[in-house]
Amino acid sequence: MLKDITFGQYIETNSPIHKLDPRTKLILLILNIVFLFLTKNMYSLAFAAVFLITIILISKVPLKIYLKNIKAIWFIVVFTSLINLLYGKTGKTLISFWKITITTGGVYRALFLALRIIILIIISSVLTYTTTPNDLTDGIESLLSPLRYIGLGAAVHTIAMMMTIALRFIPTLVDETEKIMNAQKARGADLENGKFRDKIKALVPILVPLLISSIRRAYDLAEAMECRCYNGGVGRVKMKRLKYGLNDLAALIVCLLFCAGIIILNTLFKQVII
Amino acid sequence: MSTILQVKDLTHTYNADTPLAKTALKNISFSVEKGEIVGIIGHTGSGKTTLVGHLNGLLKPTSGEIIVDGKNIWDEPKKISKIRSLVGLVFQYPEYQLFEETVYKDIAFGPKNLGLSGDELDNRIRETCKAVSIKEDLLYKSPFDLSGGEKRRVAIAGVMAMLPKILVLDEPVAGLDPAGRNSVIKMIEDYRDTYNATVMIVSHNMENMAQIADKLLVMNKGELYMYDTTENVFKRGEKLREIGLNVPIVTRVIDVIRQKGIDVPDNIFTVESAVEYITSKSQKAGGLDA
Amino acid sequence: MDNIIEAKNVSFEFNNDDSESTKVIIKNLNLDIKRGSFTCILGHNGSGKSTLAKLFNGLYVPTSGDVFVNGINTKEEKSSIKIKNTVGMVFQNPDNQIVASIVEDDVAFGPENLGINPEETRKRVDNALKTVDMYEFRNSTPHRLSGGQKQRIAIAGVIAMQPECIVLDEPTAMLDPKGRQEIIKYIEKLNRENGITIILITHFMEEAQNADRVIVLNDGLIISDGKPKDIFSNIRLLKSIGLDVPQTTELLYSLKEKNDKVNTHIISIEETAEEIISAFHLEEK
Repeated sequence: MLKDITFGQYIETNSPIHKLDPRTKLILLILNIVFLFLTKNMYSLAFAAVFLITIILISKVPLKIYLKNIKAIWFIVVFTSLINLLYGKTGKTLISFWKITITTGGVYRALFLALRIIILIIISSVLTYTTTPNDLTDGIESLLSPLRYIGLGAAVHTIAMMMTIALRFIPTLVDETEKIMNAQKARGADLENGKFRDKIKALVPILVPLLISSIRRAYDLAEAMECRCYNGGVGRVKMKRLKYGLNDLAALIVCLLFCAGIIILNTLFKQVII
Repeated sequence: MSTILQVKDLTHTYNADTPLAKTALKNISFSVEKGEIVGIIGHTGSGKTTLVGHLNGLLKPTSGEIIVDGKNIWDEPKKISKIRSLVGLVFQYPEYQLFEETVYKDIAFGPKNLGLSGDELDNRIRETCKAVSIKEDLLYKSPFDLSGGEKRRVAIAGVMAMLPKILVLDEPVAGLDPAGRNSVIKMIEDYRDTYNATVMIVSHNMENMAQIADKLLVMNKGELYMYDTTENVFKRGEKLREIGLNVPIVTRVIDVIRQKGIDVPDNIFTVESAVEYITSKSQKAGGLDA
Repeated sequence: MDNIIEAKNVSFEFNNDDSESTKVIIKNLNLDIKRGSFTCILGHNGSGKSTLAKLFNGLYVPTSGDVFVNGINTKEEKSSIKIKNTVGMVFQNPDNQIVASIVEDDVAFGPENLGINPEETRKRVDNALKTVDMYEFRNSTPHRLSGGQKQRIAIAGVIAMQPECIVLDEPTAMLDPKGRQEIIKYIEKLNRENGITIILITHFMEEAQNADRVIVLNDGLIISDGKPKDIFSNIRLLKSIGLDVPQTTELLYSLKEKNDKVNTHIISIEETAEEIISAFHLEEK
């Protein structure tokens, strides 16, 4: 449910990955993605796949849940594969008719890209499954904080504050929408049937009250924040400071080994697919 | 008197068939007669809101039946929205659902959804407003310019204009000052009297309940704890206190007087009846100083 | 200094955007709040009581006249933070004043803004949550709490700033009876045990019964000021301005019309019963 966005897709399994600093996870994810795109042959890609499976096992989040994500993007996987299947012109020709030629190179290419996208999606979801949106917000704010040296400190803080407030208010607004919908349904509003135009019209009795109440909430919140000495984040000191631990160092080393592995396998086996 | 609403063995489980399953209503059965005002009381989380949601088909029973005017409302699930003209539901803080430019248009929203138009619609709005004393000059104002109490009354009138046979209100007087509260209570009584409608009111306020309700339905932990005349329910203060509810304050005063060994009746629930009794008793005893 | 807040000839006007008219909400009001006291301001909706609350900590500044907090004029822009740290505020709708989606993060919000060091903030947050008995919920999300619990979190958020005074603007208006009793209990405790000056703004008369002083506001003017029992004895006045009167008071007042000897200064159920017995000579037969 959207209501539970505070926890987003977060799944509590208390694994070693959960305990990593969100910044570590963000950095490692970026490193992973970059090196995933550097894979050039089936060997280095297979290595990436094995690495990914290990991470999934460590995260203790059931594989089933990860696979659900792939369902959502199957179209992109199939589409990319098809394009590459048709454009690959290297290797032996397998089938050739009309203007279409399918070669072994094309098949390899299609499989290779499909696998790469799947790994990419799963590795990204490791982050969202093991990190709460709050921690993610903190992590992003902290990682972006060097931007203050080029005068963007206030902007970074504002964005982080907006994310925090959004996370806090989404469940409240979802509740409120539900309440208003029920109230208008009780007044005979038909929200399900009718043509597209009728449906759009039927939204007015819901959106107007929702908008009015959101504006009221925004005013109230602004006053409440001002009363709690908020002045745009100047001089603010957070209670929970993110701290790197030994586990973060260990994770970094493992990840660097992974990167090194990719490079070694890329150079060892010259057979290049892309 | 004839029965307008029958609830038979109603059970509702949220998230049924999942590990999060939570039974909010357990085997509720009761019936309500035409023209009655029934109060629904109970703690937050006792199942009041879930019960109310079932009465006009916003929620579907996990098991059991809801029979309105002799017909099971879920006989034809596709026509469930029709039930909403029979059972009007006013939610808590209904003024937050106002959205039109004028009071008139907002009150028209419900009847229009029922298919009314032209003179019929116009008559309906004016007739309802007259019955519940909403002044004509209010109709062309923006609902957002009204005072809190007026907004509340206009929002309630929007449901009343659909002329439901059963009007259900969730905490209709919450957050109002005494004047606003009295005008809303008067409006509910007027509606009942004009249209011989049945009214069900969810409230925490026992003093208001004593004033307006013929019967009380007490909910506790998803079960029907008591259902009887207001008098009979308030006579059993002990049983109410067991579940953390209480009788009206004036009744508690009378109870203390009784505990001091003075013989007082157990059917005093309003200030008026208390004053009447105390003065008459005092006169009999010759205790009232001339 | 004996007074924590001093309002001198304060008026506040509100300009309507769409019309030329100005609405005078507070009219030439003078008021001192004693340090450590528990003051209750009673008034119906639209009496100006919420505006007055916001004048106490500089959220609004008077159109004319001055408000001083610990001797500092709330008009002084540079002291704005200091004033808001001295006079904390709790509002009516608990949902609209909670900033973070984890309870303890929200309570930490005030001290964090004040630049308090993390260790000290942690201590303050834990203490504040313990004061309102919400420590066990520190890692919960406020969304799943009841209205009364959310309001306790809001109070903890203010306590953590260690204000000298807390202004509560109808903190119980949206709560059920149980939540209402809870909140009043904690407010009274803060005044008694922590020595925090309390200004409670409400339209429920019962909530004022344990206050040191009750001020009745109507139409932007103070129309009555004194001890709860003295104020409550003037029920005619309170009812005429649309205030909520407890049923005990209502009963005694109605009885007084029949028998002038009835004392209407009473609120508690026990005392009401005794008063009725003695005034009407109801004796055991």
